[in-house]
Amino acid sequence: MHNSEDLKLLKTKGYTIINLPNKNYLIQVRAIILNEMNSILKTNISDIEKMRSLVGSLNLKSLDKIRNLKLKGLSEKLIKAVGNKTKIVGKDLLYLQRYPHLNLNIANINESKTVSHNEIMSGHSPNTVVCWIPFHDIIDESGLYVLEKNKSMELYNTTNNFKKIFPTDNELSELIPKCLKMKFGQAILFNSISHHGAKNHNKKKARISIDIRFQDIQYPLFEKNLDYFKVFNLKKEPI
Amino acid sequence: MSILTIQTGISMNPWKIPQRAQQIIMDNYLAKNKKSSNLKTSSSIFSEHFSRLFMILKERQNLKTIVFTSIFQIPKSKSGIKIFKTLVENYELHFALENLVVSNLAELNVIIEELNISRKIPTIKNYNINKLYKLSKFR
Repeated sequence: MHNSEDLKLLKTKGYTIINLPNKNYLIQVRAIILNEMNSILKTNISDIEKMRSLVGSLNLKSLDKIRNLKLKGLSEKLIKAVGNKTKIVGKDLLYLQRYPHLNLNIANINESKTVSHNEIMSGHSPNTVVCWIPFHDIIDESGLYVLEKNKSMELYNTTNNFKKIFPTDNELSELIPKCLKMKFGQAILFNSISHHGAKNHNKKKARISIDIRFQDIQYPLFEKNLDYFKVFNLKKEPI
Repeated sequence: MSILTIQTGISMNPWKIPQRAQQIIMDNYLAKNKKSSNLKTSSSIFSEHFSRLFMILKERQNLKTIVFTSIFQIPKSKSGIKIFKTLVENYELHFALENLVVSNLAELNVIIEELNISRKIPTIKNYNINKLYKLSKFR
């Protein structure tokens, strides 16, 4: 899909699924993460599906250890994977999240799923865009759902932006769509307004994904500032 | 290798961080890296020139590492930046909030450039969420 069509979707639907132009960087990041996880779990697994099975059986203590993984240097690789698709958001100079977030959605561990929210509620600028990238195909309900723009706005209007009550996922069940199905090498770009989250699932395998945020430097930051973002010049970095 | 932590005034645009909180952030950063500070000090809240820090550094030859709470404590003025840059000639600088280590001038210049870019556009101060939605170019 052409960038202008992706931009149109980002505006009209609130999200778009892109094919990462430089998938090799994603493969590198996945290998680094697997190595780090092996080191924590004292295993030697190079196959993502086997790692998903192992992570799916983890207890909270092991999960906490993985959550403390240091992800230094990975944002740069991930944004290179996004490559010329970053142009949907801005020019070459971007605010780029310093350290990406690793996400594990494990069956029966409620807290491992991302509760529904939008990015502005977390202190991100209205012009920050999230790039959500799974390390494997997403074929079930363990992935990420994103409400279409009009439904997100309707939800905010009816709940007064969750000022007093934050509805549970069960209460929102009629509104929450199915998780987006994706292939490894694809990513979801969604804007700060889009309501999104993950669901509890009953699969033995965990979902393993990573996400980074970026935005055009011509727009101001909000509560997440240079503690969270760095300035990144894609033009200066060879791909 | 001795480590020094330094508190500054609470105003470090875009934030205000109380000095006690600054110390807690720096101590926590060091603890996470299995280190601790040998000396805790503070600088004048009315100057960007860290004169007290330089006085201490002159007397304590064993200091190798200086920990700051944030890169936003790097001076804004030309004269302040010029003096600050001399620190990297002899010391490793750590910035706790950003989890950054700077050990040479090139690395410090990258951060100063980031600060220059971000300081040109003030951060959003509006807390009306409906107005924030309207600020999005992706509406």
